[in-house]
Amino acid sequence: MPQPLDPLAFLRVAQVLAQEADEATLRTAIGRAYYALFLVARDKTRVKSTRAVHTEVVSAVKKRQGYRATADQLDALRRLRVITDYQLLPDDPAMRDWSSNWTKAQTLVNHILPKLQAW
Amino acid sequence: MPVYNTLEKEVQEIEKHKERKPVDTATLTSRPVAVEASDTPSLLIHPSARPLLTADVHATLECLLRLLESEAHTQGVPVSKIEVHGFADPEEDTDTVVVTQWVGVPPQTALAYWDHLGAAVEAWTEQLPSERVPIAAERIAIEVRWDADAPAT
Repeated sequence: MPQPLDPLAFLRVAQVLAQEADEATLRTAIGRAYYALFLVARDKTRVKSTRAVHTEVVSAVKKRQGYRATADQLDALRRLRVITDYQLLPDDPAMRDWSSNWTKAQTLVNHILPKLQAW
Repeated sequence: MPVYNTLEKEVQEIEKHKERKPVDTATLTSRPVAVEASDTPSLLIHPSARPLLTADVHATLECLLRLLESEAHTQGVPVSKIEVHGFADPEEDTDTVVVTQWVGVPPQTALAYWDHLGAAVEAWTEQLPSERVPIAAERIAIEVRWDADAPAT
């Protein structure tokens, strides 16, 4: 019987991609890192919605006692992913250093993931 | 303990500021407005946040800013700046008020402080009037950013 993909495979892809330092690759790495965590969170929260699913997942994480910060951190990673995918020149000048953005994404992932796994 | 001006006072300060200086209409809508007090972190309310600051959101945000100030002081975390942005998600048609505290501590300390803030915000949300709970829970996001990527001020 086929097994579903482990979302953390996307995290491994992100880490491989991030070894290339160009902007497009770092943007892609950030996106994959976010999706790894989003899919773990979706599984833990059992959100089935297909509409506004990212908002729903963050909201579901936020509703769990003790997880407000985790939800806000996941939401921050989501905003970073939106910037990577939609803002070819980020509106916020503080978000235009892609090495720094990747470092921030990695830091958030490493902090959030254990909390989601402890759900 | 330094006390933030209320947002209402800050809007009044912004209006006085606009009266004193010629208005550059070409950049007005894209330029954030900073209101600074001599001994408090600067509070920047970006134009993107303004359409989202209804009376209820404004009132809830004022309380939240006082809570964030208090927690930073209690935890001994230096805060250089607070920014309030509006974030529009192009995929999900949602708008969020994002409150960002810039802190002058290493990443792991900043994240531990963010975790602590989460618990404080949860407790604060539980005692809000019922009509403000959805605002605090769903309309306002809290972010902590650390000085490794702090912009020049």
